[in-house]
Amino acid sequence: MNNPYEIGVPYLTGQMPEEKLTWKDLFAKTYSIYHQTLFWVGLPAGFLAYLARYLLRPLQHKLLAHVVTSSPWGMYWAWAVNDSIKFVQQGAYWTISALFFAAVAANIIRRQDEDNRPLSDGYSSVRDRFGAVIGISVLSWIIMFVFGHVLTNGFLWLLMYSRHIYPNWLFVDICYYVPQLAVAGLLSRVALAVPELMDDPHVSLSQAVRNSIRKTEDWERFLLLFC
Amino acid sequence: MVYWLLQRGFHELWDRTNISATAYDWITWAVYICIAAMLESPLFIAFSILYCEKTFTKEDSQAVTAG
Repeated sequence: MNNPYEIGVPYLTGQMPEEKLTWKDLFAKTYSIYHQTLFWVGLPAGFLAYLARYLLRPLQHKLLAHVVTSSPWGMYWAWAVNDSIKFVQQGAYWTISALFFAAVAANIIRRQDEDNRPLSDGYSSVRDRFGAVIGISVLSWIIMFVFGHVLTNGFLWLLMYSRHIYPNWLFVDICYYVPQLAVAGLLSRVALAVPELMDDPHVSLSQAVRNSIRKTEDWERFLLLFC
Repeated sequence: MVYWLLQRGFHELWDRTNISATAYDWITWAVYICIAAMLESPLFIAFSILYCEKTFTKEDSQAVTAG
Protein backbone atom coordinates (compact mmCIF):
# COMPACT_ATOMS: atom_id res chain seq x y z
CA MET A 1 0.00 0.00 0.00
CA ASN A 2 1.04 3.58 -0.52
CA ASN A 3 1.86 6.03 2.19
CA PRO A 4 0.55 9.46 1.24
CA TYR A 5 2.78 11.22 3.75
CA GLU A 6 5.80 9.78 2.02
CA ILE A 7 4.67 9.92 -1.61
CA GLY A 8 3.37 13.45 -1.51
CA VAL A 9 -0.40 13.41 -1.64
CA PRO A 10 -1.08 17.06 -2.48
CA TYR A 11 -3.29 17.95 0.45
CA LEU A 12 -1.01 16.41 3.03
CA THR A 13 2.47 17.24 1.84
CA GLY A 14 4.39 18.58 4.79
CA GLN A 15 1.31 18.41 7.02
CA MET A 16 1.55 15.25 9.02
CA PRO A 17 -1.25 15.15 11.56
CA GLU A 18 -0.26 15.62 15.16
CA GLU A 19 -3.79 15.40 16.47
CA LYS A 20 -6.87 13.35 15.86
CA LEU A 21 -8.76 14.23 12.69
CA THR A 22 -11.81 16.38 13.38
CA TRP A 23 -14.95 17.05 11.33
CA LYS A 24 -13.72 20.60 10.66
CA ASP A 25 -10.34 19.35 9.36
CA LEU A 26 -12.01 16.84 7.09
CA PHE A 27 -14.45 19.40 5.66
CA ALA A 28 -11.63 21.92 5.08
CA LYS A 29 -9.35 19.42 3.33
CA THR A 30 -12.22 18.01 1.29
CA TYR A 31 -13.44 21.31 -0.13
CA SER A 32 -9.89 22.51 -0.67
CA ILE A 33 -9.16 19.57 -2.99
CA TYR A 34 -12.58 19.83 -4.58
CA HIS A 35 -12.25 23.48 -5.55
CA GLN A 36 -8.64 23.11 -6.71
CA THR A 37 -9.04 20.21 -9.09
CA LEU A 38 -11.76 17.63 -8.85
CA PHE A 39 -14.69 19.95 -9.57
CA TRP A 40 -13.59 19.95 -13.22
CA VAL A 41 -13.36 16.16 -13.34
CA GLY A 42 -16.94 15.87 -12.15
CA LEU A 43 -18.34 18.48 -14.49
CA PRO A 44 -18.47 16.33 -17.68
CA ALA A 45 -20.11 13.50 -15.75
CA GLY A 46 -22.72 15.97 -14.50
CA PHE A 47 -23.51 17.20 -18.00
CA LEU A 48 -23.80 13.61 -19.24
CA ALA A 49 -26.25 12.82 -16.44
CA TYR A 50 -28.22 15.95 -17.35
CA LEU A 51 -28.51 14.99 -21.01
CA ALA A 52 -29.16 11.30 -20.31
CA ARG A 53 -32.33 12.20 -18.47
CA TYR A 54 -33.79 13.78 -21.60
CA LEU A 55 -32.87 10.81 -23.75
CA LEU A 56 -34.31 8.22 -21.35
CA ARG A 57 -37.43 9.98 -20.15
CA PRO A 58 -39.49 9.83 -23.37
CA LEU A 59 -38.69 6.10 -23.67
CA GLN A 60 -39.83 5.57 -20.08
CA HIS A 61 -43.12 7.40 -20.68
CA LYS A 62 -43.84 5.44 -23.87
CA LEU A 63 -43.11 2.11 -22.19
CA LEU A 64 -45.35 2.93 -19.20
CA ALA A 65 -48.20 4.11 -21.45
CA HIS A 66 -47.93 0.88 -23.44
CA VAL A 67 -47.94 -1.27 -20.27
CA VAL A 68 -50.95 0.51 -18.74
CA THR A 69 -53.06 0.16 -21.88
CA SER A 70 -52.04 -3.36 -22.88
CA SER A 71 -51.75 -5.24 -19.57
CA PRO A 72 -54.79 -6.79 -17.82
CA TRP A 73 -53.27 -5.83 -14.44
CA GLY A 74 -53.14 -2.16 -15.43
CA MET A 75 -51.78 0.07 -12.66
CA TYR A 76 -50.17 -2.73 -10.60
CA TRP A 77 -48.18 -3.90 -13.59
CA ALA A 78 -47.28 -0.28 -14.41
CA TRP A 79 -46.07 0.20 -10.82
CA ALA A 80 -43.82 -2.87 -11.10
CA VAL A 81 -42.48 -1.74 -14.49
CA ASN A 82 -41.95 1.80 -13.23
CA ASP A 83 -39.94 0.53 -10.23
CA SER A 84 -37.93 -1.78 -12.48
CA ILE A 85 -37.09 1.15 -14.77
CA LYS A 86 -36.12 3.23 -11.72
CA PHE A 87 -33.95 0.38 -10.47
CA VAL A 88 -32.02 0.20 -13.74
CA GLN A 89 -31.93 3.95 -14.43
CA GLN A 90 -30.90 5.10 -10.96
CA GLY A 91 -28.67 2.05 -10.60
CA ALA A 92 -26.79 3.21 -13.69
CA TYR A 93 -26.26 6.63 -12.07
CA TRP A 94 -25.19 4.91 -8.85
CA THR A 95 -22.66 2.73 -10.71
CA ILE A 96 -21.26 5.68 -12.67
CA SER A 97 -20.89 7.52 -9.35
CA ALA A 98 -19.01 4.54 -7.88
CA LEU A 99 -16.58 4.58 -10.81
CA PHE A 100 -16.15 8.33 -10.36
CA PHE A 101 -15.55 7.73 -6.64
CA ALA A 102 -12.86 5.18 -7.52
CA ALA A 103 -11.23 7.69 -9.88
CA VAL A 104 -11.29 10.37 -7.18
CA ALA A 105 -9.80 7.95 -4.65
CA ALA A 106 -7.10 6.88 -7.10
CA ASN A 107 -6.18 10.51 -7.69
CA ILE A 108 -5.95 11.27 -3.99
CA ILE A 109 -4.02 8.11 -3.10
CA ARG A 110 -1.85 7.97 -6.14
CA ARG A 111 1.45 6.29 -6.50
CA GLN A 112 4.64 8.27 -6.68
CA ASP A 113 5.36 7.25 -10.27
CA GLU A 114 1.91 8.44 -11.26
CA ASP A 115 2.15 11.85 -9.65
CA ASN A 116 2.39 13.57 -13.00
CA ARG A 117 -0.56 11.71 -14.47
CA PRO A 118 -3.17 14.23 -15.64
CA LEU A 119 -6.54 14.24 -13.94
CA SER A 120 -8.21 13.49 -17.27
CA ASP A 121 -6.44 10.11 -17.12
CA GLY A 122 -7.84 9.43 -13.67
CA TYR A 123 -9.99 6.52 -14.81
CA SER A 124 -7.03 4.42 -16.03
CA SER A 125 -6.29 3.00 -12.60
CA VAL A 126 -10.00 2.24 -12.10
CA ARG A 127 -9.82 -0.30 -14.94
CA ASP A 128 -7.57 -2.57 -12.83
CA ARG A 129 -10.24 -2.94 -10.12
CA PHE A 130 -13.24 -2.49 -12.39
CA GLY A 131 -14.94 -5.74 -11.35
CA ALA A 132 -14.58 -5.14 -7.63
CA VAL A 133 -15.80 -1.53 -7.87
CA ILE A 134 -18.82 -2.60 -9.94
CA GLY A 135 -19.42 -5.42 -7.43
CA ILE A 136 -19.59 -3.15 -4.41
CA SER A 137 -21.64 -0.64 -6.36
CA VAL A 138 -24.28 -3.18 -7.43
CA LEU A 139 -24.43 -4.76 -3.98
CA SER A 140 -24.92 -1.41 -2.22
CA TRP A 141 -27.47 -0.26 -4.83
CA ILE A 142 -29.59 -3.40 -4.37
CA ILE A 143 -29.61 -2.87 -0.58
CA MET A 144 -30.39 0.84 -0.99
CA PHE A 145 -33.18 0.24 -3.49
CA VAL A 146 -34.85 -2.63 -1.64
CA PHE A 147 -34.70 -1.17 1.87
CA GLY A 148 -34.79 2.54 1.01
CA HIS A 149 -37.41 2.48 -1.73
CA VAL A 150 -39.37 -0.74 -2.30
CA LEU A 151 -40.02 -1.66 1.33
CA THR A 152 -40.67 1.94 2.38
CA ASN A 153 -43.17 2.45 -0.45
CA GLY A 154 -44.71 -0.95 0.26
CA PHE A 155 -45.26 -0.16 3.95
CA LEU A 156 -46.71 3.26 3.11
CA TRP A 157 -49.10 1.63 0.67
CA LEU A 158 -50.10 -1.17 3.05
CA LEU A 159 -50.56 1.04 6.10
CA MET A 160 -52.02 4.14 4.45
CA TYR A 161 -53.07 4.19 0.84
CA SER A 162 -54.66 0.73 0.71
CA ARG A 163 -56.93 1.89 3.58
CA HIS A 164 -57.64 5.18 1.83
CA ILE A 165 -55.74 7.14 4.47
CA TYR A 166 -53.92 10.10 2.95
CA PRO A 167 -51.80 11.89 5.59
CA ASN A 168 -50.22 15.31 4.98
CA TRP A 169 -47.04 15.62 2.95
CA LEU A 170 -44.75 16.14 5.96
CA PHE A 171 -45.75 12.82 7.50
CA VAL A 172 -45.31 11.01 4.17
CA ASP A 173 -41.92 12.65 3.63
CA ILE A 174 -40.74 11.64 7.10
CA CYS A 175 -41.92 8.06 6.55
CA TYR A 176 -40.18 7.94 3.20
CA TYR A 177 -36.91 9.80 3.75
CA VAL A 178 -35.94 8.80 7.31
CA PRO A 179 -35.55 5.09 6.41
CA GLN A 180 -33.62 6.12 3.27
CA LEU A 181 -31.29 8.24 5.37
CA ALA A 182 -30.79 5.40 7.84
CA VAL A 183 -29.94 2.93 5.05
CA ALA A 184 -27.59 5.47 3.41
CA GLY A 185 -25.87 6.02 6.76
CA LEU A 186 -25.38 2.28 7.25
CA LEU A 187 -24.13 1.82 3.69
CA SER A 188 -21.63 4.64 4.07
CA ARG A 189 -19.82 2.43 6.60
CA VAL A 190 -18.59 0.32 3.67
CA ALA A 191 -17.57 3.30 1.51
CA LEU A 192 -13.88 3.20 2.49
CA ALA A 193 -13.71 -0.13 0.65
CA VAL A 194 -13.45 1.79 -2.63
CA PRO A 195 -10.28 3.77 -1.73
CA GLU A 196 -8.79 0.57 -0.30
CA LEU A 197 -9.53 -1.33 -3.52
CA MET A 198 -7.80 1.43 -5.47
CA ASP A 199 -4.85 1.53 -3.06
CA ASP A 200 -4.16 -2.16 -2.58
CA PRO A 201 -4.34 -4.27 -5.75
CA HIS A 202 -4.36 -7.51 -3.77
CA VAL A 203 -7.12 -6.87 -1.25
CA SER A 204 -10.35 -8.78 -1.81
CA LEU A 205 -13.74 -7.11 -1.91
CA SER A 206 -14.93 -8.80 1.29
CA GLN A 207 -11.74 -7.88 3.15
CA ALA A 208 -12.00 -4.27 1.97
CA VAL A 209 -15.61 -4.12 3.21
CA ARG A 210 -14.64 -5.54 6.61
CA ASN A 211 -11.75 -3.06 6.92
CA SER A 212 -14.04 -0.20 5.96
CA ILE A 213 -16.59 -1.07 8.64
CA ARG A 214 -13.78 -1.16 11.20
CA LYS A 215 -12.27 2.15 10.07
CA THR A 216 -15.53 4.10 10.07
CA GLU A 217 -16.27 3.44 13.72
CA ASP A 218 -17.13 6.75 15.46
CA TRP A 219 -17.74 8.46 12.09
CA GLU A 220 -21.39 7.42 11.70
CA ARG A 221 -22.81 10.86 12.60
CA PHE A 222 -20.48 12.68 10.20
CA LEU A 223 -21.34 10.28 7.39
CA LEU A 224 -25.07 10.62 8.09
CA LEU A 225 -24.73 14.40 7.99
CA PHE A 226 -22.85 14.30 4.69
CA CYS A 227 -25.24 11.76 3.14
CA MET B 1 -31.92 17.01 3.88
CA VAL B 2 -30.75 19.40 1.15
CA TYR B 3 -32.56 17.42 -1.55
CA TRP B 4 -35.68 17.31 0.59
CA LEU B 5 -35.63 21.08 1.16
CA LEU B 6 -35.11 21.63 -2.57
CA GLN B 7 -38.00 19.34 -3.40
CA ARG B 8 -40.30 21.28 -1.06
CA GLY B 9 -39.09 24.55 -2.58
CA PHE B 10 -39.79 23.30 -6.10
CA HIS B 11 -43.27 22.16 -5.08
CA GLU B 12 -43.95 25.68 -3.81
CA LEU B 13 -42.56 27.13 -7.05
CA TRP B 14 -44.90 24.89 -9.05
CA ASP B 15 -47.92 25.73 -6.89
CA ARG B 16 -47.40 29.49 -6.71
CA THR B 17 -46.13 30.40 -10.20
CA ASN B 18 -47.20 29.85 -13.81
CA ILE B 19 -43.97 28.12 -14.79
CA SER B 20 -44.33 25.69 -17.71
CA ALA B 21 -43.80 21.96 -17.16
CA THR B 22 -40.82 21.91 -19.54
CA ALA B 23 -39.09 24.86 -17.88
CA TYR B 24 -39.80 23.36 -14.45
CA ASP B 25 -38.25 20.08 -15.52
CA TRP B 26 -35.09 21.70 -16.94
CA ILE B 27 -34.62 23.99 -13.93
CA THR B 28 -35.14 21.34 -11.27
CA TRP B 29 -32.86 18.82 -12.93
CA ALA B 30 -30.13 21.47 -13.45
CA VAL B 31 -30.29 22.40 -9.76
CA TYR B 32 -30.21 18.75 -8.67
CA ILE B 33 -27.12 18.12 -10.83
CA CYS B 34 -25.37 21.19 -9.36
CA ILE B 35 -26.18 20.10 -5.82
CA ALA B 36 -24.93 16.60 -6.58
CA ALA B 37 -21.67 18.12 -7.89
CA MET B 38 -21.31 20.25 -4.76
CA LEU B 39 -22.12 17.50 -2.26
CA GLU B 40 -21.38 14.10 -3.78
CA SER B 41 -17.93 14.76 -5.25
CA PRO B 42 -16.71 16.23 -1.94
CA LEU B 43 -18.23 13.23 -0.16
CA PHE B 44 -16.01 10.96 -2.26
CA ILE B 45 -12.98 13.15 -1.46
CA ALA B 46 -13.87 13.04 2.23
CA PHE B 47 -14.08 9.23 2.14
CA SER B 48 -10.67 9.08 0.48
CA ILE B 49 -9.09 11.43 3.02
CA LEU B 50 -10.70 9.50 5.85
CA TYR B 51 -9.26 6.30 4.39
CA CYS B 52 -5.77 7.88 4.30
CA GLU B 53 -6.09 9.17 7.83
CA LYS B 54 -7.26 5.81 9.15
CA THR B 55 -4.74 3.77 7.16
CA PHE B 56 -1.49 5.72 7.18
CA THR B 57 -0.02 6.93 10.42
CA LYS B 58 2.85 9.21 11.28
CA GLU B 59 4.75 6.13 12.46
CA ASP B 60 4.34 4.57 9.00
CA SER B 61 5.81 7.66 7.46
CA GLN B 62 8.76 7.72 9.86
CA ALA B 63 9.41 4.02 9.23
CA VAL B 64 9.40 4.54 5.48
CA THR B 65 11.65 7.58 5.74
CA ALA B 66 14.06 5.76 8.06
CA GLY B 67 14.02 2.67 5.83
